[in-house]
Amino acid sequence: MSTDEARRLIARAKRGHADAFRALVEAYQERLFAFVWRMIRDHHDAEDICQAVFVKAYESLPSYSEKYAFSTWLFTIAYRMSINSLRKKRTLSGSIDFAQLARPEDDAAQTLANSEEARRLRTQIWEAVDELSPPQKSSVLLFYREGKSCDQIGQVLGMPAVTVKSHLHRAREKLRKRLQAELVDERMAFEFLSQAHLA
Amino acid sequence: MNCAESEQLIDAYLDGELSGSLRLEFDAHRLRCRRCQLTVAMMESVGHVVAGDRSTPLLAEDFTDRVMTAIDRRRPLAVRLRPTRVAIVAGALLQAAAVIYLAVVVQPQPATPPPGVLPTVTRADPDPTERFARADQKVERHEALHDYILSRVEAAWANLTSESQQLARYPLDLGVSGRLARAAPSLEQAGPLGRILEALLPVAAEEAESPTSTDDEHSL
Repeated sequence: MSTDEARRLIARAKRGHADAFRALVEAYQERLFAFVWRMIRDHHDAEDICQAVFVKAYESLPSYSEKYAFSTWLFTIAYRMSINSLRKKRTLSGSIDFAQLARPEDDAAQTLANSEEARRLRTQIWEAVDELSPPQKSSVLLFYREGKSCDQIGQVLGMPAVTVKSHLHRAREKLRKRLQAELVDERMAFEFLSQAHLA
Repeated sequence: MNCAESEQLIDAYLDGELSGSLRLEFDAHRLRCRRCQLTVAMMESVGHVVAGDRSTPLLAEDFTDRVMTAIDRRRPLAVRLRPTRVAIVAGALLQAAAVIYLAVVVQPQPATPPPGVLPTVTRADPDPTERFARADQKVERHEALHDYILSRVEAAWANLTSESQQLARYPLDLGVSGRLARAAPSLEQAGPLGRILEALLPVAAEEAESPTSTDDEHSL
C-alpha cells in the first residue's frame, strides 16, 4: 500500500468510516501477525494480540500523528502488548525459555522446503533468533524483516536509536557465536577432513 | 588484521558502513581466512532468512471480520447506526412533521357562523335549533379529532426525540445526505414539539431556493 493511499484511508478512518479502517487492517495484518508471532511463538495468543492491537489503534486514531509511519505506530502498540503478554506468561510459569516457545507448527508451516541443507540452516538461524532477548529479537525482526531504521525501531521500542544499535550489535554477536559453533566450525572440520581424505 | 579484529568489523561491513583502508584490510583478511569467509556468509544468511522467510503460520480467514466486530461492539450506539436506519428515522420524522402541519396549521373550519351573524332560516330547514345542534356536534367531532391527532403526534415525537438527538450529533460520521446534516443541529435544539416545524422548514425553504432560481431562468 502506498503512503498516499494509507494517508487517505487513515483520514477517512479518523472520520469514523469503518470500511477505510477495514482496508488498513487487511493491508497490515500479515506483517503485524508475523512480527507478533515471532515474538510470542503461539498462534492463538498472537492472533488475540493482533486483534487487540487493531482495536487499540482504532480507538487511538485521533492521537495518531502522521510524522510517524502508520506501520511503525502499529508495531509500537504490538510490541508493548507482546511484552505484556510475555510478562504475564513469565508470571504464570515462573520463568520463560524463549527457545522452548517454538511449536510443532513451525515445521508444519515450512512446507516450501528447499534442500535439506537449506532447511537446516533456516531452522538453526530461527532457533538462534528465538534465544535473543525481546528487545534484541524485536530489533533484529524490525531491522531485517521490516527494513526499519534504528530511529524507527527506537520509536517502536521506546528507546534512543543508540540503544537500538547496541541491541542490534549484541544480537548479532550472540547469533554469530551460536551459529559459528554449529555452522562454521562444523563446516571447517568437514572441509579439513575432506582435504585430509583426498591427500 | 587477525580474526578477532575482523569479527569486530563484520557489523559495519554488513551495514555498508565500512570504507577506505579498513574495508581494504577487512577484504584482505577474508581472502586468506576461510573461517572469516564462512562467518560473513553465515551472518548474511541470517539477514536473508529473517527478511525473506515466509514460513509464518497464516491468520484465520475471518480475522478481519473479528477485528471489525470487536471494534463495532465498542463504538457508541449512535455511531453504529447505519445510513439506512437514519433514512427510516428521518422518514418517520418527516411524516410526524407532516401530521403536525396538518393538525396545527390547516385546522378544520368550524361550522358555526362568525360572531354577530345569525344563521339564515330557509323553508327547507324549518327548525333553526336543530340546525345549531347539528353544527355544534360537528364542531365537537372536529375538536375530538384534532385532540386525537395531537395526542398521537406527541406520543410519536416522544419516541423519536431521543434517537433524533443522537443522530443529530453524528450526521457526518454516518455519511447521510447534506440535507439531514444541515437539519441536524436544528433538530437537536428542537426539543419542544411546537418547534419541530421551525427546525425543518428552513431546510425545506433552503432546498426550495435553488430550483426556484432555475425556474426563474426558464420562465424568462
